[in-house]
Amino acid sequence: MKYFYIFLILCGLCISPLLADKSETIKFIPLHVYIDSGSQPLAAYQFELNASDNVKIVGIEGGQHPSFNSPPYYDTKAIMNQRIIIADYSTNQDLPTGKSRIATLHLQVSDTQTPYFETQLTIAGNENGQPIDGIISTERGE
Amino acid sequence: MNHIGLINKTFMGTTVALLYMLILLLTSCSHNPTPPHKRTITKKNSEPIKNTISQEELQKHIQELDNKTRYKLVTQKWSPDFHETKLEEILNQMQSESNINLNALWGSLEFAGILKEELVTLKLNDVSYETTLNTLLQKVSVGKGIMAAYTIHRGIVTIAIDSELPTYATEKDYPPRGEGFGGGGGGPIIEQKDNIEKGLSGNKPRKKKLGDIPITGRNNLSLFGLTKRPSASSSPNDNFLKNILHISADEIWVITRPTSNQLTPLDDNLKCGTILATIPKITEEIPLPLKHTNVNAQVSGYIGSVNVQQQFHNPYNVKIEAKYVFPLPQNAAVNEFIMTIGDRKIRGIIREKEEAEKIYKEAKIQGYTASLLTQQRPNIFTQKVANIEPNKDIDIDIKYFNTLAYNDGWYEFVFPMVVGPRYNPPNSTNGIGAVSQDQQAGSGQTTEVAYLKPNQRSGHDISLTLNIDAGVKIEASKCHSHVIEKEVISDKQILVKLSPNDTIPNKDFIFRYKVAGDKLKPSIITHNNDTGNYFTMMLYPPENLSSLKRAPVEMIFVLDCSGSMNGFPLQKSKEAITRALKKLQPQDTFQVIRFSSDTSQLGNKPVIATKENIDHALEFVNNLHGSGGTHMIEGIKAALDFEHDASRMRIVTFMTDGYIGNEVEILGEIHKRLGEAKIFSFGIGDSVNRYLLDRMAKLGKGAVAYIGLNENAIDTVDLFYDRISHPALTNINIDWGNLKVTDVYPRQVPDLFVGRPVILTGRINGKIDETIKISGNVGPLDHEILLDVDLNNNSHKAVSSIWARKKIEDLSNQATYDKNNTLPEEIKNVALSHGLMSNYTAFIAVDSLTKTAGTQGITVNVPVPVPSGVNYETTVNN
Repeated sequence: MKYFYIFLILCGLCISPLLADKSETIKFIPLHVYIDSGSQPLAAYQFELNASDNVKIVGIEGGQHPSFNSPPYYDTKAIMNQRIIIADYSTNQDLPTGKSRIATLHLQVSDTQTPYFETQLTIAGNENGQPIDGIISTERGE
Repeated sequence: MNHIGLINKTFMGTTVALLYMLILLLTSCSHNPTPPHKRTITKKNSEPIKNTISQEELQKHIQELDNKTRYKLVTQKWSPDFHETKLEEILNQMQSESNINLNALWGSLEFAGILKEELVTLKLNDVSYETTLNTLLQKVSVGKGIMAAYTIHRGIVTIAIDSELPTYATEKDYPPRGEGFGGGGGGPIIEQKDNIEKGLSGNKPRKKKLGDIPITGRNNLSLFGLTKRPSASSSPNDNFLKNILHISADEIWVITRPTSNQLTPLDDNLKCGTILATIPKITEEIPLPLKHTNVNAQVSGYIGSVNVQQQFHNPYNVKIEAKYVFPLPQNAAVNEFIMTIGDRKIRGIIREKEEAEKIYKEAKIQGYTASLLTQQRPNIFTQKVANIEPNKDIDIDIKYFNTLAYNDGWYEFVFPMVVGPRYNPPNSTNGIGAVSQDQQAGSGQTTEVAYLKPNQRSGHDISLTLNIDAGVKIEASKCHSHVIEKEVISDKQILVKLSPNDTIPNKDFIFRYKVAGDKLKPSIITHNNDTGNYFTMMLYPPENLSSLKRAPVEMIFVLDCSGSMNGFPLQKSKEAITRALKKLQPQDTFQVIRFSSDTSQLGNKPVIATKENIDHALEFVNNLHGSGGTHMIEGIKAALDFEHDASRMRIVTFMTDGYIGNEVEILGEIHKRLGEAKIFSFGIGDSVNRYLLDRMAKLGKGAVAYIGLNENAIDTVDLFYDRISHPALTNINIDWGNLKVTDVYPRQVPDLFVGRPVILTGRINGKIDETIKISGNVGPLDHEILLDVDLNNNSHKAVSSIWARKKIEDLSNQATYDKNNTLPEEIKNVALSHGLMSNYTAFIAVDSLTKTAGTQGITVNVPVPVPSGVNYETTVNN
């Protein structure tokens, strides 16, 4: 009987790694977000990150330029519906032009499905509060 | 292959862990064996900080001061000539003439029958102040069966009943024990509270008894000096007696708050820099990971916006997780959380609590720096910071809004600094455990606070800046809890800073300021955002209620006699009950109930307030002692289950520090059994559980009063009687006119007593100018109040957060008695949509850019000092 129990324990030890292998793998990845405002100074922006259900935002960091290096704000209500809406503005004189990293999103991604995310610039504005054309892009950080 | 790989990983992990523990043990064993009180630490700038003062130096300094005072007392002479003069006046004049600081503990003296107003005739020629004091104390003690005495500590002469003089003194100075001074009679004083119990030359300290509540003598500027402590004749509270209206910025009706515990500059000496804690299972004492807390508060009108920065630092040579349980005001709407690593700032995300905890756990295991803020009670929070690498700093910024209380023209800003040790009933697991820092994880509770021993001091200090823009002229301001530096920016603005000499976070910071005018004008503050339009409004009781007399009362006194109340807190409670019993009128009835681990009471039903019954009750109260647990439920049952006499207003007064962990159960029980009773809770102590006491009063449609350990409980009881001595405006109905008002909190407007303001918070739409009509009954009469409001006025972005916080509070209160399963979901949704902390939400922040080496580090709990005035022996691990 004693050997039978030992056998069961050994079986358990062998099987548990197999079970563990089947559980989801979770990764944390940074996603840098850039806006290219061309020759126009960027004073305000709002963008939305559309992501698959297995992507969760776990932190928001500011950007590269001093005018946007504080962490931007997010829409708390939207996040309840799996929407990530980020916005910020700056009243500084010195504003970024051209392509500038305006935020880094810290994401948790599980491998339950192929992760997907896409950013969409809702609006960008200059120092006079007028809308400007901007191109948003992302880059996975290391 | 996979199996082998995993098994190998497991084996390697175990080996690494064992090696790591061995290294840690060896490292810790090689630490400086210098005794704790001599140890130095290294701060961020790598400058070694010396433990600020040695015990010998401190003792010498105190002794010199005491000797100087004693010298003045003995050598200076005068010729007192008083005829039928009040005792307090004599002492005042004596202080004024001699320039010696006198501090009478009136609570103690009056409890023994030595009253401030006692008339004394004293005529002496060319005598020392010592002789005068001895003669005076002898005179007032005669025939009372007690002996008033005095002692000198830190240059201050403290006067009290012989048996109740503060225990920091080795011996009393009067009654006399010897000749002269500086010899056997006037020996050095031992500072018992602040970790200086041993090693002093000369006299041995008096052995601390179990249950001794040492006091620090911090009220030494109180009664006789320029900074006169509020008394029955001069306090701001007294102004309230003259005024008809009393306004508070919250719907909790507060009768009094602590006003004493003022520190003296001498406490500078106790700003020790030594940090002593122990990593679990490691015997060597080492510094703590929480280095500093910086509080930056802005007040605009009656809304506070506070940023709390906790600065964590890993002083060890291994990676750690820091865990810190801390308090915030119970009405704090926490809506922002930022983690700073070096120059990088990461905004935390509000998420469902369980989800946030899972994310944090995963990030911790994978080696990412992460932080998690959870709420255990509306006023107790836990901060966890994972994977802090050796010698690295991580700051956490938490921001909250809250409304300030308003009391008779005085606004009050409170910042709590330490969680008091709670008692948890047997078999409970969801409480707040109180353990010593070397016996962690031993309470069996889900949340645990580790406390430093009385002879230990955390290097964690605090700085605080308070910027007040009152909007109207500030006429006066004061801080009795701490030493502060104050700068007047303009007649409406002041800047307050906590003095660098008073940075030990072991009691509530309380700052009050008085604004111009006797009354505030009713006003609405509004805010619009994408979630809606919100308002807050103060509601006042009608003036003419003050002229009407009260109906007979059925008074039930419930006294907490548990271990944490032992000593001065219980003494304060006795003073309060004694006064209250003596103020009962013949048409009133009363009963007295005590509870600790069990319950007992004076009789089985309320009795008429005859002199004989009152004397019997006084004897019962006088014989009570503090020990055992805090089974408040039994006290509540006993108090609320009496058959109600409909001809009398039932008032139940609880006198407690509220140090219990099962608040929800208590509140649920009150709701279930309340009936017609009104509950008045008296918080006794310097760092009481305000959340519980406020909620008890609120649920019980009564009021709360806070009595500090150096407070005069008699004044508070007098105010309490004044408050209940007038009828209330009841059955209140509000006609909002053309305004569309919804989701107003509190849902039911409570009765308006004289002096009781109420804050209403709700959602609003409609015309910008409107008149609101408030109607109600005063006894058999109808009464109506008209309020003009201007919705364009006072837009404040905090209003929506404050409304959401009120809604969460309301739903949480409902959840204490309503088993509706949708309530948690409703609370969670409100919290998430407004980005607020709650029982069901938490802030999480993960830095995914950098992964630290190895797996998760050791968890280090941050131990805290027991609150000022609380007895470590009878509370921690008890």
